[in-house]
Amino acid sequence: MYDLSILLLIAFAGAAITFFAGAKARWVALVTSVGTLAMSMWFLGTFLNGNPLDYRFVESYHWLTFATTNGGSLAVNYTVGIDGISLPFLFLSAILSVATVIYHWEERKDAAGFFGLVALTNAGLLGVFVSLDVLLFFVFWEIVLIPMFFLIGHWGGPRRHYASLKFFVYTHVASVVMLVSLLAVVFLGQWPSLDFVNLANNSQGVANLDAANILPATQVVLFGALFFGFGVKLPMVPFHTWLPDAHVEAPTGGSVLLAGMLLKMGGYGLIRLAFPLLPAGHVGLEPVVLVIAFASIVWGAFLSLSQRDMKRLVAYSSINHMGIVLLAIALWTQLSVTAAVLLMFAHGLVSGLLFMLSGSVHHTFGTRDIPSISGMNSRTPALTTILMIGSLASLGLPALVSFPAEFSALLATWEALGWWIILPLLALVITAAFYLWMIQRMAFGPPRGVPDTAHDLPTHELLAMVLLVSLIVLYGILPFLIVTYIPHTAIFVGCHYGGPGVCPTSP
Amino acid sequence: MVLGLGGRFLGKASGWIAVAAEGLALLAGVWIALTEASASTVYHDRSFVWFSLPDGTNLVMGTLVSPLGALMLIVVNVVGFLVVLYSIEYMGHEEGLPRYYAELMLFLTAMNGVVLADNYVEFILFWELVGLCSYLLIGFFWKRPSAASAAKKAFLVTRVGDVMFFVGVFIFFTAFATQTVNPAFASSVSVYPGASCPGHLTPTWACSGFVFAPPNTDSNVPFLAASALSGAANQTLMTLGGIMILGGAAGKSAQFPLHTWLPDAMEGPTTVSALIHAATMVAAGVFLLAITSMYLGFTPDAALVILGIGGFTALFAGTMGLVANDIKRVIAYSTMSQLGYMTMAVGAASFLVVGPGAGMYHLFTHAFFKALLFLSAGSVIHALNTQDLFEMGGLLKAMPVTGYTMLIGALALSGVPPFSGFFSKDALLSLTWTAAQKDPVALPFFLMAATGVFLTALYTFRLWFLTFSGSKGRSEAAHHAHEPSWIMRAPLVTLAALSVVAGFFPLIGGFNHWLPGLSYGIFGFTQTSKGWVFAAADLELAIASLALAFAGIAVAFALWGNGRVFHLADDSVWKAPQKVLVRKYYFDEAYDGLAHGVILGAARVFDWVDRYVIDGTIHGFEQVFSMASLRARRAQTGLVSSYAMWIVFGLVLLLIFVLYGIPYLGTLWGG
Repeated sequence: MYDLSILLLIAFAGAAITFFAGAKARWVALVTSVGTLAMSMWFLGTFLNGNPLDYRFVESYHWLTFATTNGGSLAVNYTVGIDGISLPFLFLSAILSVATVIYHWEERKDAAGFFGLVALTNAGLLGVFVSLDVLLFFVFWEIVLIPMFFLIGHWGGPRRHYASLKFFVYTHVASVVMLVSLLAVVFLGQWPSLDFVNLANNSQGVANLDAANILPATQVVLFGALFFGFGVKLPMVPFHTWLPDAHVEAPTGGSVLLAGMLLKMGGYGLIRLAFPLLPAGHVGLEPVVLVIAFASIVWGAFLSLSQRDMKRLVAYSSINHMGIVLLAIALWTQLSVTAAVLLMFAHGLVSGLLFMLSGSVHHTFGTRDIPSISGMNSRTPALTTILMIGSLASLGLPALVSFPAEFSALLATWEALGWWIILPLLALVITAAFYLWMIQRMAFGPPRGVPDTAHDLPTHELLAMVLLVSLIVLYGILPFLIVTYIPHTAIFVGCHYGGPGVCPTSP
Repeated sequence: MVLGLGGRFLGKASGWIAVAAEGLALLAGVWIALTEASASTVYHDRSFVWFSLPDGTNLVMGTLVSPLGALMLIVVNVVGFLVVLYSIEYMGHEEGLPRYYAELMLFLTAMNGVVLADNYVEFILFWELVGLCSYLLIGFFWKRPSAASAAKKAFLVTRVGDVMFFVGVFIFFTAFATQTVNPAFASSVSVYPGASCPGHLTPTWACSGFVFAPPNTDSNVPFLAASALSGAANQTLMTLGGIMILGGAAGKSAQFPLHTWLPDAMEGPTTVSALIHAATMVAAGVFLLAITSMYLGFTPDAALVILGIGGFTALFAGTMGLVANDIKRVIAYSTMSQLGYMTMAVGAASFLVVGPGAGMYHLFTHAFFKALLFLSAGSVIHALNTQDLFEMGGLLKAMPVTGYTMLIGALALSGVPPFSGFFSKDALLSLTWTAAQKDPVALPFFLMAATGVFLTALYTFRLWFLTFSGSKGRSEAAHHAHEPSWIMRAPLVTLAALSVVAGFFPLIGGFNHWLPGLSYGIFGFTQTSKGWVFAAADLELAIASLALAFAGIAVAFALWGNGRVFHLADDSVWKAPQKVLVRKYYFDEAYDGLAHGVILGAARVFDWVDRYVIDGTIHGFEQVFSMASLRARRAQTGLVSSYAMWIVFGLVLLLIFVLYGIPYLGTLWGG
C-alpha cells in the first residue's frame, strides 16, 4: 500500500541520518542502501502479479490545485508507481549504491559527508524512477544533481571545481529546458493534473493526457526541447563534453553513480516522457535523433581509441553505449525499447565496475595513464582478472550482460534501418579494439611502472567488484531474469506504439 | 548431457581433474553421438527460454543433436581429450597451470555448445566464447609482448568476421520472413518448428526463433531445390547474407582476407595450437558454413564466392607455408590451406544443392592428422626447445615414435592412400570438379586447389625431411633429443591410428547421414542410393591428385631429403618472390597501416576536434557569459560552501518560478 513511500522514506531518512552519523556514517549508509536494495528486490519478487499494462504500487495524494484562467484547474499530486521500465532502474540504483558504499568503505576524507551524499544520490534517483507527477519528477531530478555536484567538487581530482561547475551548468540548463517544455506540454495538452500515471494508458479512457490537443508542428518544437533536456544527460554528441571532465575529476563512487545512474535518467526520461508524450514530435524529428545517435556511437568509439587516461576511455565508451541506447529508443519498437532498457541496466553494472577498476588502478599504481603501466598481471592478478571481465563485458561478449542487449538493439536496427547498421557494427569492432589494446598494454607484457610494493585489491574493493561481476555474469547467462519485467508497461499500447497515425481522438 | 558439459569447469584444480572431466565429456559425447546414430528422431530440446517478449521475439537456448553435430561431438571430444592428456607432460613445467586448464576446459565447453546449439543466437554466444578462449590461450604466455599482440590480433580479426556474421544472420531471417508462403521452405522448417507465435500478433521472422533448419539426412537427394525460391526471394539480399555468413566463417577459419591472425596464433602453447587447428576454433567456421548450407543453397552466387575464397586460400596459404622456417608456422599454413579446401567444398555443395558432407568429411579426417602433426611437432619442440626447422634434422633415430607418427600425419595431409586425407580430399575435389563443370567460374578455383595438392605435399615433406631425415642434427640440442614419456606418446599413437582409419569411416553402416551429400569415391567408385557406381572422371581425378601429391613429395625429397638443406642462392631470381612470401604478401603491414594510420589517425583527429572545436565552442559561450557576469565570477571563491549558497539561491528561484510561474504560464497557454 505505502510500499514506494516507505522506500523513499528509508532512502531519504537514511541519507539524512548518515550526514550526522559521524564515524558510523558508513554503517548507516550501508544499512540504508541495503534497505533500498531489499525493498527493490521485494518489488522484483511481487511485481509480476498484476495487469501487465498497469503501473504497480501506485499511490496518489493531492497536494495543490492551481486555478487556470480559463476556468479549469490543474492539480499537483504526490503520485508514485512503477512499471517494467522503472523497476530495473530501481534495482540498479540500489545495487550500485550498495557497491559504492562498500567500495569506499575506507574513505577518510569527510566520510560522513561523502556517505551522506552517496545515500542522498540514491534517494533522489529512486525518487526520479518512481515519480509519476511532473513536478515531483522534476524535484527529484534536481535533488540528484546536488549531491553529485558536491561529490565531484569536494572529493574530486585536481580540476574538480571546473569539472563540477561544468557538470552542474550543463545539466542544469538541460533541466530547465526540460521543465519548461514539460509544463508547456501540460498546459497545451490541457491536462487536469500534472500526473502522468495514466499517460499512454488508453485502456482506461484517459487518452487526452497525450498530445492529442497539441498541433504536430508544436509537438516537434516541444519534442526538440525535451530531447535536448534529456539528451544532454545521456549524453549525446555534441553536448557530451561535460562527461569526460566530470568523470576524470569525480571520485570513484561519484563516477560509478554518475555513469551508472545519472546517465540513465536521460534515457529513462526519453522513454517515459519525451517519446510517449509527443508522438508527432518524435516522428518529425526522427532523422535528427538518428543522426545524433549514430554520431554518438561512432564518436564515442573513436574518441575512446585515442584516450590515454583509462577513466577518460571508459567515459567515452559510455558515450558510445548511450548512443546505442538512444538509437534503440529512437526506433521505438517493443524489441528496441526493451533492448534500450536492458542495455542501460547492463551499462550501469559494467561501467560501474569499470570506474571502480580505474579507481583501483589509480591508487595502486599512482596513475591511470595506460601507456605508463605494463604487465600489471604480475603484481595484481585479481585486479587484472576483473579488469578483463569488465572490458569484455563492455565490448559485448556473450554470457555477459551487455550481449543480449546489444544484440537485440542491433537486430531492431537492422529491421528498421537496414544497412545503417554498419555504423554501430564499426563501432563494435572499435570498442573491442580499444579495450583489448588497453588490456594488452596494461595487463600483459613485461612488468613496467608496476612497483614491487603494489598490492592487490583490498577486501572491500574486491567485494564491491565481485558483487557487480556476479550480477554481470548472472544476467548475461539468464537475461530473462530482468527482461521479463520490461514489457510490463503501458507505453507500448495504443497510439504510442506505432506512432500518431493510430491515435484515438480525444473522447 | 548438460552435466557432462558442466563437469568441465572442474578443470580448475589441476591437469588430472581436467583429464578426468574431459574423459567423462568424451564418453558423454560419444554416447550422445551413438544415440543420435541409432535413434530414429533427432534429439531437440527447446525448453530453456533465454528471453521472450510479447511482440513474438523468442530467443531459446535449445539443444539440437543434429547429424553434423554428432560428428563434431566426436571430433571435438576425441581431440580434446588427447590434447588435455598430452598437456599433462607438455605443459608440466609452466606457470599458471590452473588457469591453463580452466581456459582449455572452457574452450572445449564452448565448442561443444557451438556444436549442440539449435539456433544462430545461441551459436553466436558459444562462438564468441570460443573466440574468447582462443584469445586467452594464445595470450597464455602473457609476459611476451608478441603473445599479447597475437592474442589481440586473433580476437580483433575474428571480431570483424563476427560482425559480418551478425549481419548475415539478420539478413537471412528478414529475407526468409517473406518466405512463409513457400511450401518447400515451410515444410523444411516445420521439421523443427520454433517457438510458435502468440496468436494475436502478426507472425514475424522473430517467431521462428532463429532455429536452424537441419540439412536433409538423405545423402543423395538435394534437400531443397533452389528453384523453389526463384522469383520470390530478394536474391541480392540473400547473396549478401551468404557472403556475410562467409565473413564470419572466414574470420574464425582464417580464410583470405581474414587469415592474418592464424600464423601469429602460434604464440600460444603447442597444445593450444593443436586444439585450435584441429577441433575447435577454426573448425567452428567450417561447421557454421555447413549448417548454413541449406540457406546457401538458395544463393548460388554466394555459394560460388565461398567456393572461390576457399579454393584461393587453399593455394594462397600453401605458398606461404613453403617458406616458413618455424615448424609450427608451417603446420599453421597447412591448416589455413586445408580449411580452404573445406570451405571450397561447402561452397561447391551449396552451389550444387547437396549436403555439406564432403567438407565435413575433410574436417573430420583433418582433425585427427592435424592434431597429430601439432602434437608431434610439440614433442620435437619439447625435446629441442627450438621451433626452427634448420636447427633440427636427423631426429628419426632419437625419436622414432614421434618421427613415424608424424610421417603418418604428413602422408595423410599430403593425400596419399590409404591414409585418411586422401579420401576426404578426393571427395571434395571431385565435388568441386562437378561444380566447375556446371559453372566454369569455379574452374580456376578448382585448378588453384589442385595446385594446392602439390604444394601441400611439398611443404609437408619439406617439414618432415628437415626435421627427421639425415644422419645428424644441425644443432647441439638435436643431438641430445629423446622421446617423451607415454603421456605424450599415447595421444600421438592414438591419433596416428585414427589418421589411418578415419578415411574409412563412411563405409561403416549407419553413419552415412552424418555426412549428408557425400559422394564418396574410391578410385572412381561412388556410393549412391543405388549402391556403388563407377565414374571414370572420378578415377582420373583421383589418379591426378595422387600424382600431384607424389610429385610434391619427390621434389621435397630432392631438395631437403637425407639431411640436405636447400637454400636459394643470393642472386636467384626467386629471391624477390620468396621475400613476398616470407612477409606474407604484406597483409600484416597493410592491416597495421589501416589500424594505426587510418583508424587511430582518425581517432586522434576526432579527439582534437572534440577538445578544441566542440568543447571550445562551449568555452566560447562560457567566456561570453562570464564577461557579462563579472560579479558572479568574483563570487566563485572556490569554496564549497559558497557554491552551496548559490545552488540554494538558484533552487529558491526555481521554486518561486514553479510555484508562481506555473499559474502565470497557465494564463498564457491555458486558454
